[in-house]
Amino acid sequence: MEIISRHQLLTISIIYQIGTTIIFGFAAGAGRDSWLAVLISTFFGTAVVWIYTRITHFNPGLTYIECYPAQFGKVLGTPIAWMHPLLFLYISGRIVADIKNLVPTTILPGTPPWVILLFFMLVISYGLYSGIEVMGKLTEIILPIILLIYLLEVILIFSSGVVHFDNLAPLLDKGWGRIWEVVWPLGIIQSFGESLALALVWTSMNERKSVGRTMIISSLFAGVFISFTDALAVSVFGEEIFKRATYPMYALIQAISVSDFITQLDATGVIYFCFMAFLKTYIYLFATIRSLQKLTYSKSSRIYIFPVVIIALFLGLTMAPNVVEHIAVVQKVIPYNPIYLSLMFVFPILLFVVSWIRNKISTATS
Amino acid sequence: MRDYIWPWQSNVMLKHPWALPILFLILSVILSFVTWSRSKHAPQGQGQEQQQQPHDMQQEQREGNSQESMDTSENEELKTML
Repeated sequence: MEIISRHQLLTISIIYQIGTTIIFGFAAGAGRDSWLAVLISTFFGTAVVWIYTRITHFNPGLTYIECYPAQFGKVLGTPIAWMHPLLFLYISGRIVADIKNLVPTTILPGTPPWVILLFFMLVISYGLYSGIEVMGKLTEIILPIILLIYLLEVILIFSSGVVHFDNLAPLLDKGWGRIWEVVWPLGIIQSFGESLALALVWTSMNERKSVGRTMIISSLFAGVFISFTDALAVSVFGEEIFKRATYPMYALIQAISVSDFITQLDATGVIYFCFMAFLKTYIYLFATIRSLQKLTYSKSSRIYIFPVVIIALFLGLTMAPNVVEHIAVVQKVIPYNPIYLSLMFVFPILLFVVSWIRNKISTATS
Repeated sequence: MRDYIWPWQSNVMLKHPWALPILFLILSVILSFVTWSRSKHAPQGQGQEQQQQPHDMQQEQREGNSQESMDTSENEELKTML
């Protein structure tokens, strides 16, 4: 069985949770208070992630998917369990669509999107075939590089003289209303609710007792990272441009200009955006394949790699004709989609309560 | 009607947001029959392990730990005797 260490899980989780939010911005609807909305989302999101970890703790030896039939019975639990790989597959299609819109717009305008996505999915297929252990080792190497590049970009942004902290003030001038609109439910779904897919990775960890602590650390780190990036973007662009920008973080890197010499570093940003999207897609497809293996009682999960990758590619290619519609779905439909709300909040809370009660009863009777 | 064939597409999700959840529900029920049928034919122990209640597994772990501690104490007694 593939085994990953605590450090590998930490690096996977950090990159996963920062994920595609670094591309499209997070909590842009809150304007100049977006950094505060991110911090509040981080607080509640970390609690949600903690609930996911406790569910697996109360059900030792079972993957997250198997907890539903185990606790709710096979009639009710099995359909709920099956909704998870379907959701993971849909979200992986969304990330593929993100790449389809981002890369041709930024660094490869003359390349047909299907070619970019074909190579993207081929690499993901190879990663899936190689296993989660290889991905753990890769993220251990890549995360310090990404953080270093990010640090250099921050230094260069400050050196460019484009940062105006006045843009962050006044704080909460339009009240708490727009902050809560952004926090619930989209702020918690993005990055934190989506950590549900990581629950299928936890069974591969060698130190199972450290899962909860590792996930809390990664959630807090990712939240602070995104909050800082939002604050930086608002201080450079101001509230109105930040709210309207399609790729605010990409625009932030484009703003770097030191003595008219160090300019046009946007390609470096796109490269680590792509890696984050790559890892996020990988984890979703890994979770899909692992779920399929468990739900069909298959010996090997490799037989599902090819069909799952093909379906994700097809979903990504056909999902949205343009980025405007793609983003509109995220803003208007997904926060109120019953699938997201039930699988990320309602069912996990019910499962947590049922698991906790049964655990208490079995502890008391023994 | 044609829209309902592609419920994951963004224009369909914006016009008919309930199409995708309904598709998920239908697919999950249909696929559940696959799980139920395969669980009967799963290799012995695999299906049982997956259907085993988690509090039963915790009980087995405790019993296994107590058995291990009994074994180690017996080994220690043997060593002192020798």
